Amino acid sequence: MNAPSKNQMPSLSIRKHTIAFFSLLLLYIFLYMPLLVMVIFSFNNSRFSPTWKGFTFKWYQLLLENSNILEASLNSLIIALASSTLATLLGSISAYALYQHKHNGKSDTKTKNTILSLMFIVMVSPDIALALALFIFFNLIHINLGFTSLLLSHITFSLPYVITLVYARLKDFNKHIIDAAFDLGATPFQTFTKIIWPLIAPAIISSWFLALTISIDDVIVSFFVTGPDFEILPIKIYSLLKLGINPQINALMTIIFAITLLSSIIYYRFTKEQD
Amino acid sequence: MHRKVNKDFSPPILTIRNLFKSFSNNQILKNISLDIYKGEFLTLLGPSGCGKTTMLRIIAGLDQPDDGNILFHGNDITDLSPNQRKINTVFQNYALFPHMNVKENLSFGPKMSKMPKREIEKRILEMLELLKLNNYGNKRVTTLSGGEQQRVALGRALINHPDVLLLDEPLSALDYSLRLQMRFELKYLQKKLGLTFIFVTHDQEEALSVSDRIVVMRAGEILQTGTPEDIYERPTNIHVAKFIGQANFFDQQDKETSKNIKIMVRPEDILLYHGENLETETKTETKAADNHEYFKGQVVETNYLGKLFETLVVLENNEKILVSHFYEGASCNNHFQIGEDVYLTWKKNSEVILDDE
Repeated sequence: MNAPSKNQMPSLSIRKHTIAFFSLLLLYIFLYMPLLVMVIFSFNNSRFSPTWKGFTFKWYQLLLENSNILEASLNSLIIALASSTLATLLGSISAYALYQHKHNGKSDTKTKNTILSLMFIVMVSPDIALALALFIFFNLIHINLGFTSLLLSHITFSLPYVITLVYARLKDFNKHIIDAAFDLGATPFQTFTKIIWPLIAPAIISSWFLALTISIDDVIVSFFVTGPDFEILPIKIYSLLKLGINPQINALMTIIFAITLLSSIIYYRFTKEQD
Repeated sequence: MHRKVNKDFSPPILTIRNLFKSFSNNQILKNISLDIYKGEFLTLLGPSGCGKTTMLRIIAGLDQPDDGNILFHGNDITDLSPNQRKINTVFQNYALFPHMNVKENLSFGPKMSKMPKREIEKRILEMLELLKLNNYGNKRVTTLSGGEQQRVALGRALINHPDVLLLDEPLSALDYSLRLQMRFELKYLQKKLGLTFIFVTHDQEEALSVSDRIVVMRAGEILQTGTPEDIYERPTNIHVAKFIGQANFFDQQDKETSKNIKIMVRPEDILLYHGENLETETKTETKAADNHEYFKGQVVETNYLGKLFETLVVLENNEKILVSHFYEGASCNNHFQIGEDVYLTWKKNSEVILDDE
């Protein structure tokens, strides 16, 4: 009875193992092939040909000379840095307020959950809905579409992420440790710098990172709320694509991909150290 | 056998005077007054929500009372902040700083009070030694076991050499056997260092085992203050009798005032007899139960607890009476079967007469 099943078991598990391995391989090819193609073609010495015509840095050179794209990149970076920093500041304070919120001296879970749910709704609602809403809103209150409207919009869609992340971190930690710090003689300022800040800093930094990437990523909302005077990168690329694929864009995307890869590694290292 | 409390010849270290505290119309403390003496292990005992933790937080300076005063060595400290009081707290769930190692946790208090570095180093070593944490100095507190974290929490408070140590349910997060062990360690530490401990718990067994004096609280009021023996043997109040240990109540009328009273008898003080041989047994037994009436009942449940054997009897008036005695084997005379008719009464002078509330 035992012998046959013993013989079958390994082969079955090997087969299972092989299937799992190949489906995973397929998945990764599917995920990374387009990126790889993009990177390869950024070095291809041909403007139109889909075949390999030799290695070149030409497109990178041209990219560096293209003031239009550089300006759009700079604008994107400014918006991303400004909106993520402001969103992190505002969001952290809001998360703290939410954490401290009490009704009649008791922690008011109902209101907190309602506020958090409203946050989730903004996060999951289609970008196009938010984009249109913001567009109409800015027109209504007569804000010219451009830097200001773009900045406000980016802060708007980043805020829920920041609040949720920082709030989760605050909720996790034992309230008594703040009492303990006071009890051991710390002033409120020392309690903040020595206890609260070191504990919530990872959440704040990672929410800042997240806000930064969402901002750089955004096309739809930005498309609606920015004006002709202030062009940002995703929209610039989109408009360039209408004229056909330009290897300069491949080069630009390769650079952005490299930066993303690098910062992911740094971020991963950083959070791993925190644990 | 009363444990010594030197309250007769020294002034109290801490005096609590007419303390009131409410949280949004919810009165937590209602006119609490209490004296605490140097070197005593005082326990605030009561169910959750009775105000014991609030009282501790007010003594620590973490909460302000609505009315009333706290005197420390005779000086009013009600308005002082926590860092101006020579009082430290061991918090529930330890409340260690998770981003620091053991040494950093221990040295937090001394650093805040700007103690010289050498003195801090010396005290850290002292604490590690005292709490048997010698090789733990550089370990992260999150990697420690519950019992070890508990010790670090104790050390973090004791390193400041407080006059009074407050302990807020410090053992509640530990498992049973560790809890028993830590009880002894706490008691030992307190006597060794000669400190005043104010200990908060809802566990009556814990309170009985560690305390010099117990303050039983309920709904923001003190019901009774006394030694563990006082509280267990001579409760002055029906709630105290119910909360500490197990209690049986017999309803009766006072012969003189014909007021309703309750006679409280502990399960171990109940004498239980087999129904068929009441006569012979009472003759051979010591006449412990003289002058009492006997209650007739039936055994409805038995419960073997290893050391003890419990028998639940329902009397003719449907009152349930719990009886417990040392277990001496199934063949023993005081072993009872479910369904058996029995008679019961209590040991002479073991009863406590309480007002029916």
